[in-house]
Amino acid sequence: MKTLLTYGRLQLRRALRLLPRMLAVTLLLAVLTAMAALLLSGLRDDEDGREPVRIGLAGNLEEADIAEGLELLKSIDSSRFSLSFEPMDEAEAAQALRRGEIAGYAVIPEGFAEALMIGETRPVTYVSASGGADLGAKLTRDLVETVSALVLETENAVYGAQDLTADFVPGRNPYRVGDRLVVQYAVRIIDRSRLFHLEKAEAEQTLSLPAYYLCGVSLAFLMLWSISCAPLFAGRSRELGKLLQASGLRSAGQVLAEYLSYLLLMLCGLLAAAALAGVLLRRFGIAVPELEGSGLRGAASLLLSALPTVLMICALQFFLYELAGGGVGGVLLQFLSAVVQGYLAGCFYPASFFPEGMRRFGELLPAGAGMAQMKGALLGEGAAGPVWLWLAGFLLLSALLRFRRNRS
Amino acid sequence: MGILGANGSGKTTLLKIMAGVLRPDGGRFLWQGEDLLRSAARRAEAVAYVPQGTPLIEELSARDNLRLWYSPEALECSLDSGVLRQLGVDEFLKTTASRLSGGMRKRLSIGCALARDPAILLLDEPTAALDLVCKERILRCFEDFRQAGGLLVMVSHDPWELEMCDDWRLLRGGLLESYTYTGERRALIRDLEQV
Repeated sequence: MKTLLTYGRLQLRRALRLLPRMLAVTLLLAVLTAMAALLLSGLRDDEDGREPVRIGLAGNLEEADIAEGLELLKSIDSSRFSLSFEPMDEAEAAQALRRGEIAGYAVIPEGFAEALMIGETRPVTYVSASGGADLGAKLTRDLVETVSALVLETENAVYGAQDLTADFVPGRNPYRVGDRLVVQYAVRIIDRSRLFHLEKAEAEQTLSLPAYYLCGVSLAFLMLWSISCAPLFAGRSRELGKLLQASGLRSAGQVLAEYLSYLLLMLCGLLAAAALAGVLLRRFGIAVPELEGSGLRGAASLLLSALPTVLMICALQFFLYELAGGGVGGVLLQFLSAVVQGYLAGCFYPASFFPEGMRRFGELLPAGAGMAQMKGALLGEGAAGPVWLWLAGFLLLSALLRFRRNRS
Repeated sequence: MGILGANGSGKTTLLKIMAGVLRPDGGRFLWQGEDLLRSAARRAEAVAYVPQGTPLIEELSARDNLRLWYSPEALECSLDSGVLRQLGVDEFLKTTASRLSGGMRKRLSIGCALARDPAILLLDEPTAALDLVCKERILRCFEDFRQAGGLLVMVSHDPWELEMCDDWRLLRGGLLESYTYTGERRALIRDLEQV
């Protein structure tokens, strides 16, 4: 016991020697993570609060109806805050798309408006940058299909009503009926705010988006931060472990003493990172609804309630360094583990967008368990069971690895 | 006791078993009628081991490294007039282990091993790659340990290093054979080559 305490104290002293260097890395990583968070949450504000997506319009824009319609879209329609239509010729549009200046462009065919007047539809071609593999392209395709179907079916209904009026309602002007229906269509259907209903993803149904990303980014930060601790693990002497084992300080004791000192180092860094995160959140005006009004006490209680995840992630990192044996291998393992687990657990992108199997797999991973626990902590729910299991598992595995190494 | 043997003959493995680092398939290590392989506490008390590498915490000072093995009083006493003074460890107490030279590291490792005042000191090539002055200093310390009634078990390839040993053994084919060194290097090499 005496050796264990002395060894623990010396490990702590060793860890504290690395603290200044680690805090410097923390600062750098926190700034990078904050930038990633800003990109993720799409909070790059322009003066209106949002930056509109630019869409090119090419082809036949000369027709009076189309020019008028475009003018209306640009000046009156509420979509002007989110979409900006830029008239250009097709070659210009193709170049702008390649340069990434526009999200896509539509080519309006010759005689489009005239054809509409007589009940014909000439398809508009929409060109986007992606081959269709990404989510944005899929959503765009779905939206185009939906709007096309909407326009076509409405036209059918309008002309059908005109024909019905002409055949069965003598005395009524079928064209006036048609006009009234078109007006109703414009008022009730082509009202952009009623075109779609935005349903929040599952993760966000219980947690606000800023809170979700706060959890995700914090977890990713925690997992990546271990890279700065590589010198702590690279400098370990295998001979010392063997000697200590022979002198009565068993592998489990060695692992426990080293883990606790590493944990303390991580907690110091975490406090610094949390303070920095608080400053950055305030600086960029990002409000987390779940924390609003709770002040410093709320932030402190959040940190405390996320402690199980911090303990578990530290144990995971300790295990990975133990598994790799050296500093370089350990760093590589940490990085791969952080990126893969972070992605699957939904740290970088809400996991609710993933296929069911992938999402369930992500939840089973340590990072997934950590994410659930942190979300639970923000909501005041307890979800720490799997986290404690992973923690115990990693410590046990680390002790077994150390035992094996000491005996080799 | 000095142990000689070709590379890979099992000298280090034998020392590790005696030190309790490795677990043997069988056999006994008897000391004063007690099998030290079965009693870890007794072995930890009686046996000290200096491995080939240096079992140090690199980021800490020499004093911090000594603290792991010595009680505060024993450390001061040894630095004042004991084995640490003899090894010259007091000259670099405040230096970080990673900045120590090979000789200093080895002296520090030996100082750590002698902390519990062991009866048996197991040494694995203790002066390999050290300069003559440093070698002499370390060997003098071992001589004193031997004179005080301690048992030295030393593995080495260097006959000069083994000169202080009363009992030479050659590890060949897994067996420890008694060996008489005639002073002829060629004869020693010939014997080592025979498996």
